[in-house]
Amino acid sequence: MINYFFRRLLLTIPVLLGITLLTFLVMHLTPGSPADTMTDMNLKVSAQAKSRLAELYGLNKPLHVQYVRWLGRIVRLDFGNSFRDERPAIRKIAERLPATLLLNILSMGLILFIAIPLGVLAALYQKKLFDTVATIGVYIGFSIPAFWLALMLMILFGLKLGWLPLSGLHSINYDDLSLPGKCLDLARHLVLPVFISAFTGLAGLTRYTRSSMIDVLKQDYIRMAYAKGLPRRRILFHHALKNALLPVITIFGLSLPGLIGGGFIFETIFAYPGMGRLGYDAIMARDYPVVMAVGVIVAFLTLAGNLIADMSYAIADPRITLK
Amino acid sequence: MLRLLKQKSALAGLIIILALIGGGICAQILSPCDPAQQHVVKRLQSPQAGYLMGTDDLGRDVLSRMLHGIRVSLGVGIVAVGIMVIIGTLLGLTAGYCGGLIDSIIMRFVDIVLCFPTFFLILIVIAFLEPSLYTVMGVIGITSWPGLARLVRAEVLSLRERDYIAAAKMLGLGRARLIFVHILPNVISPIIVAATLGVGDAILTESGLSFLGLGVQPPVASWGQMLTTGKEYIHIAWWLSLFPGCAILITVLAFNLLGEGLRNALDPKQL
Amino acid sequence: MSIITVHNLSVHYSRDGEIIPALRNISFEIEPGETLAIVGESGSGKSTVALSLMGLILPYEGKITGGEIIFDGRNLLVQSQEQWRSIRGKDIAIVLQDPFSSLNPVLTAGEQIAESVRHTLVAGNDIKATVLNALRETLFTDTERIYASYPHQLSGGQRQRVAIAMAIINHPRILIADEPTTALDVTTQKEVLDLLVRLKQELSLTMVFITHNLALAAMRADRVMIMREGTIVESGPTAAVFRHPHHAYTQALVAAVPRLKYREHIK
Repeated sequence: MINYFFRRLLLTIPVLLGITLLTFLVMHLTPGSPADTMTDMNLKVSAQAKSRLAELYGLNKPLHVQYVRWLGRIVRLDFGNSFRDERPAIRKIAERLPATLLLNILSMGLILFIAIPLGVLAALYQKKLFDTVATIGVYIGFSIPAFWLALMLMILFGLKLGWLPLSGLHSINYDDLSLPGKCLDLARHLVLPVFISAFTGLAGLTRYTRSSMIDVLKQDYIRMAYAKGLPRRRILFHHALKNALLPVITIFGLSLPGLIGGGFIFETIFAYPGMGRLGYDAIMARDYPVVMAVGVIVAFLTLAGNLIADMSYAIADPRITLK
Repeated sequence: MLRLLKQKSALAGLIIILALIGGGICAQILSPCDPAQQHVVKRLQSPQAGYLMGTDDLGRDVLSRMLHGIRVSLGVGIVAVGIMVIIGTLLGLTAGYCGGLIDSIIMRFVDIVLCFPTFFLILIVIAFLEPSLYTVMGVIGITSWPGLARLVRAEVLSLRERDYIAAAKMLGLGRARLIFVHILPNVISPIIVAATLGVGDAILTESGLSFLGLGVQPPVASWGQMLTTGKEYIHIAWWLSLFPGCAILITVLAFNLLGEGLRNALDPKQL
Repeated sequence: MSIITVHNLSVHYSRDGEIIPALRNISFEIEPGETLAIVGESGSGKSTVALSLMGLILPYEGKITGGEIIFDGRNLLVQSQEQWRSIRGKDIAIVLQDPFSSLNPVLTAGEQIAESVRHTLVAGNDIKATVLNALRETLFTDTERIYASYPHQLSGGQRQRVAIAMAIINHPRILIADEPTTALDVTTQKEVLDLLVRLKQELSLTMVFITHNLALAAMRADRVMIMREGTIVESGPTAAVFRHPHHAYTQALVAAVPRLKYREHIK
């Protein structure tokens, strides 16, 4: 078991390096060198100053040397300073990360708590009304553009009904509110973003749980469980669900990048102060250090998520670790 | 084929897609107006006779733009998926069949790319290139092949151990022939399913990019781009948001239904 | 006085909307203490008989469309789920064909066997002791290890013996074995078959033995029932059916058995 964990961990190291390499390459090989961008903003900068700047950032050294230097710095979490406001990139991320994590964790929770029961029920009532409705919902969930759904919901709940705020994480008068008031305010701001963020993942997981459950229920060992005279509830929970949820764990892990990535669009729509929005703004503004920082961190998070999913699977399925 | 058609949902999807293709090809003929023509006087008209879906902020007829938008969406979907399938299949076949170092290298690369949210990668690449129809097609294709490669590789791995491959090897067939004549035909089914579903995904991605202004540029009409305008005028012109969004939904839904239908029809387990 | 009487039993399966008849109006009896072999090719309906006797045809697969199964004076086909549960695993038990899929892969062998007795005994220790005992009865020697093993750690023969332990732990009156050895290799087959014969004697079981292999039936059964396409073609005491098969189909089956084998046992 510990062996498996270490082996798995070891395998992630090349991927980690690869992530940094890819980010670095994409940044430096796309048109528009970093120095140009920095200095284009300020026409007064002379050619001399420009080359001094390039010197400072090591931009005139060969690519692989730059990479190694950069690698050395990011290990200490030094991603350089933002081009826009000279603040350390890592600091900007640290400000935004909690909001994004909050969003993602709530979304994941929502997905798990709704998709799994829905999927199981759809499997149990297969071909009945519940299943049909659930399946329709799932298909729509897959096909709907998330940002459009966001818009539609914003119109409905924000404008027409006025129940929910349209943007941000706090209202203007947040600091004046009492503690329960603050919580409620936070919650109201989170409803739409979390829902939209979870929507597609929900569809996928429901469908997957459903088909996994259907497959499991057809297995001989379920029939054997009936043959032993066990009550239905026990058969469902103790026998069927345990097996049906195994592949679901893997799928859940694989959907993590989608979750984190989707943030880029709807954090923008909702003006949500998260890392996705930071990344988007940075890309638009050609703010290289921040873009690289966001890229690397997001990829790391995904990798971590996958690792956790794998480990959970290994713990849950005795066939993996026991020989 | 028959099994596919037996499923009503897949059939519906197919019909919708054919209707869309027809509409796209005949967009010029069917459009009541020139999609790029602006009538400032008639801006922001709600749906009425003559302008069945209303007009946008520059007085352009929404219906005409919607019809021309079909071309963009379907075009991007098909080309992007084409790129995805070609690269993904080749690399997946190679990795799966050759194994060893080649397999490791390709798969490590796939793992790395898959760690990045696709949209983030696309954003970065597009932001540094000129956003245009062709850029979008290319970038979506290039960022989606890793998923397919992994799928293909898994299929190849399971097929590799089958007896008929061993038999073919013993007959002395060359590697290339083995891969293309014996393994590929059996891998085609999941590829077809993935490709069909991929078109839906590509359309969603393209509309997302266009929405952010990083996709198809005006005056070319794209549904996602129309939604950008929709967002701006959300308070007063609901039709600008509703129609393009529904169009995207219905199109992607059609491809998803077809894809799922294909999956059920081609799944040997059902036999 | 038979222990089970089946009257006019009909069953159909439904797949993809099509209805496929599996049993057509069959009737037969099972005498207490005997070994009845049900023999037939795939599709003959023999496994369906086994599943019907225990009410194990699941709703999505098909259903019993008519007839009665009388056990202990009542018709099993009209009883409630609770009543079924009181019989299954306790009065009637079954061992399925494929040992690789009839055990739950995420639970240990011990846990799965223990489930059968959990309702009768209360204390944990008693349960474990009973399970270990059942494992001994099915000829396991390192019972503790088997108790803690997961199915994938056991061989096919071991798994099948675990399944048998699961079935006999409550000392049922009837044991149905649906092609118990078909998925095993030849040497293990003999092991398992001998075990079944032994258990039948030790526990005074009535055994229903389902197989496609007429020779196996010949060796171990008191009576034999030949099935084909959902109907009973012929039935009777084993020796009689072998020496004087009436129906053409039976004749063909008998002729197909390698002579050496059955001659020995029919004497």
